[in-house]
Amino acid sequence: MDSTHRNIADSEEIVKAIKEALSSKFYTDLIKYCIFYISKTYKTKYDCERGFRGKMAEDYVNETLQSFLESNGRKWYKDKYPNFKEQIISSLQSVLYNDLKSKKELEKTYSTNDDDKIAEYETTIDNNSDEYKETLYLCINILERLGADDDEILLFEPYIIDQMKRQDIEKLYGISASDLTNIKKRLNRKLPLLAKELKNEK
Amino acid sequence: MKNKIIKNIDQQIINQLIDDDSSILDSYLENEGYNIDEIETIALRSYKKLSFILNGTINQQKDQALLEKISLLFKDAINKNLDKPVHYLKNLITNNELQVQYRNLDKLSIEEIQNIIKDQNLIELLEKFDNDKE
Repeated sequence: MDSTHRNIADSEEIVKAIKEALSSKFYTDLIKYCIFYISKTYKTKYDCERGFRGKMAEDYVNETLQSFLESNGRKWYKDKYPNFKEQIISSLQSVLYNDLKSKKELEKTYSTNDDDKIAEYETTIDNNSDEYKETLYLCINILERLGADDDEILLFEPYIIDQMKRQDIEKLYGISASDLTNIKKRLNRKLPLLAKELKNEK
Repeated sequence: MKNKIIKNIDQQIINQLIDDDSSILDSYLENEGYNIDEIETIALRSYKKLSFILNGTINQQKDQALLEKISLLFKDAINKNLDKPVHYLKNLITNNELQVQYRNLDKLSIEEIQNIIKDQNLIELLEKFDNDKE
């Protein structure tokens, strides 16, 4: 998509969006996301006192946020990210990726760009294929080991694999919004561990 | 298929963050041995500093935009030989004993006009221009 046809926010819109988005809660979540990204991508424990290779999570987050206010700085592509928070997170991922790939001493455990391409290809996989069934059973086994109950296991496929909307899941299972929320909360706690085990299985 | 599931899980984390819900992240970080309270304390301290810096940057940009806008209004007024703004500018030059000789106002660049008016109350100046229009 060339830039002449993109819906790009002007500086006034960006200032307004920053003021609306940047609560202490969201900022803290960005710091947590930064630590999560470093930990999972580079299989290393982030040191909250010393940072990672001399750079703190706060540095990455602050650099990302300030870049939106620079002249010729980062843009907000409203067509791709109608919610500015999502643009911030995407930009933070980009800052982290570009900075960390230059730290050649550490061997990356996997390449996020290659995996994104594979993931895109995998959206066309047939739900009836052996590969699909094997992977689904693998996920269910892992979730059971992590203590997931029947409701969580039933929720997993429509929620994570099919990415169904919550109203559709409620209809599918004939459950209330609050029941679905409770099941989701229990399942959510196990998802990062599931992702970690799946990566180890590759 | 595994990559798709991993990517979908990552996207759920992001979707939650947008809704101010960090429960999946907190769960991961706790499992990895991080102290959530410690992270939140460090984050809050940094947030206060950053808010201060961002507000400063935003206010500076606002002031600069206002200065540019008013300078353009003065330039336009000079070209049209409007009495009040021209008279005001001449007074500023005389009263501030500006070093550069501004004999011919119409030769002033936008940057020179900015330099002359930069310490004035810009909001008041803008209001004066608006009032004169009516």
